[in-house]
Amino acid sequence: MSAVLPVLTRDHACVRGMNWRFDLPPAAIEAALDALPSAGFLPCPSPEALPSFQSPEGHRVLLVRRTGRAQIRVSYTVPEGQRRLAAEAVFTAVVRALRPAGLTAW
Amino acid sequence: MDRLNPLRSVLTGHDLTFLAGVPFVYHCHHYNLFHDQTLDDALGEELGAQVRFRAARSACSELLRALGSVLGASTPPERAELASLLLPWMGHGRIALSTSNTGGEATGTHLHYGFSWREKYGERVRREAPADSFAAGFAAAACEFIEGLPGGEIVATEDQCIALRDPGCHFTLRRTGRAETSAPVVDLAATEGLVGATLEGLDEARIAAIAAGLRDFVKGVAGDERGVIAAFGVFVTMHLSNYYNETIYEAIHHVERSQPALLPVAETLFREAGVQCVFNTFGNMLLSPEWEGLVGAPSGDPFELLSSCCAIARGLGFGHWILHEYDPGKRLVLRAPVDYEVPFYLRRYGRSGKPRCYVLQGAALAMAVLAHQVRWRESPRLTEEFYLSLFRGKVAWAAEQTLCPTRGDACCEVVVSAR
Repeated sequence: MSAVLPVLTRDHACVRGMNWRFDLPPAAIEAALDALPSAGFLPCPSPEALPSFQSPEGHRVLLVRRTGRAQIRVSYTVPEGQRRLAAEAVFTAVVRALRPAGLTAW
Repeated sequence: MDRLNPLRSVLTGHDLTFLAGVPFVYHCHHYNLFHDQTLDDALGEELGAQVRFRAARSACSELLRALGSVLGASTPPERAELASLLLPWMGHGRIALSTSNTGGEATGTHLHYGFSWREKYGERVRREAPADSFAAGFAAAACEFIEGLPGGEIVATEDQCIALRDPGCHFTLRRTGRAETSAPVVDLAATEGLVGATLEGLDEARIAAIAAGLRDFVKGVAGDERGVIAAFGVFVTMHLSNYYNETIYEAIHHVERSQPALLPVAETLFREAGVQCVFNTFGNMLLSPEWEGLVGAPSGDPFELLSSCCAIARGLGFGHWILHEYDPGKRLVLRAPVDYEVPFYLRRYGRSGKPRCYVLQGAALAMAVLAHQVRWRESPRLTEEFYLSLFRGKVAWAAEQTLCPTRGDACCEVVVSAR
């Protein structure tokens, strides 16, 4: 897998800093299914096409298997002003977990 | 609430959904807030709130009694437990009830209307009246249900509301001793007797497959610990069709009786509620990771988008919407054997002299506009400004309902033509 540096942006319909987006190569999604539980993310019940995890802090990560789109949903318990930081922390944790799978640029 | 999911059913061939035989649909907060605002615009705040409260109490009473019967909740504590779990499961927030046979009180947190109104408008609009008529109706119905009182004897007043910048929502419940005359029930059995044969249209296989997948997906969606369903980029509610229908038709009939000159304005507003629904609910679904995962991101092809909208409508319980005709860029004919509005109208009011599917009319127009005027591949932001740019002033498409079962026609039909 080639080295890719994903970028974190506000996702569509992001209200009050709740929803954040980054995109991975679709192959990295498969790697994430193994890597995220090892990094402390709990798998959540979800359709096969849309695997979903909960971070140790209670944030959700949705992965779109067919396209590589990923969405971080920051927990509503985080004050609005701190949601970007919370999303960045989750993003960092996800990308670090995927580093062995080829995201070496991180 | 593992006990509730098995009580869902679908009227085959009509894509109308029921919980313990009581009709329900999914709508998002944008639609719900617009719907309630439209009632107030048509009736004034005081009468609007009364109509909303009565419709909510009646619809919630039907649901609570049906669930109580099926689940065997026969004692007041069992009924109280059922009532307190139901509202958050449906995505309407939480409510704590303290009831007696003379009334009582209720305290709400994250109640859908007040909470989502504050989220959407709270920073720029000051509201004068409480927002949670639906929860008030639920609290009154729950009190009657728990205490074994006749339907319609409890009234609820929301004396604190977060939409008014109060710290929480609070309701006072009072027994009037006057039961309300019961109206004909609109449930699965009544609906089965009112619908005709199903229909098939263009792209049927794709639409049916997506609708089935969507219905499966929403089955797994329930309120979080707040009683909030945040999905598809909106706050979603599982809501009672009888609430929407009773409020719309009571308002329309009131205007017909009292201010007939204003009827076209009221009808335009209720059609616009359908536009709001497709723009916000359907649009946000199409751009969501859930849709991208289950179906794929919209390609930008207008026909594909129209087909997707029919699938969403079916998946959300709006009825068996089909694409009957499509002439690219010129004309769309949307049909349904019935939508969720028709059985209610026929059962409560009988035949109508004119088409009555206001949500369907607005939805068809919005589908044509979204299919042809939105650049889906560029991930558009569905903002209020964008909405206004599409639907205020001269809209590029015009819709007319040409067939309606409330008028005796065999199906619903809305023809949308490019101007």
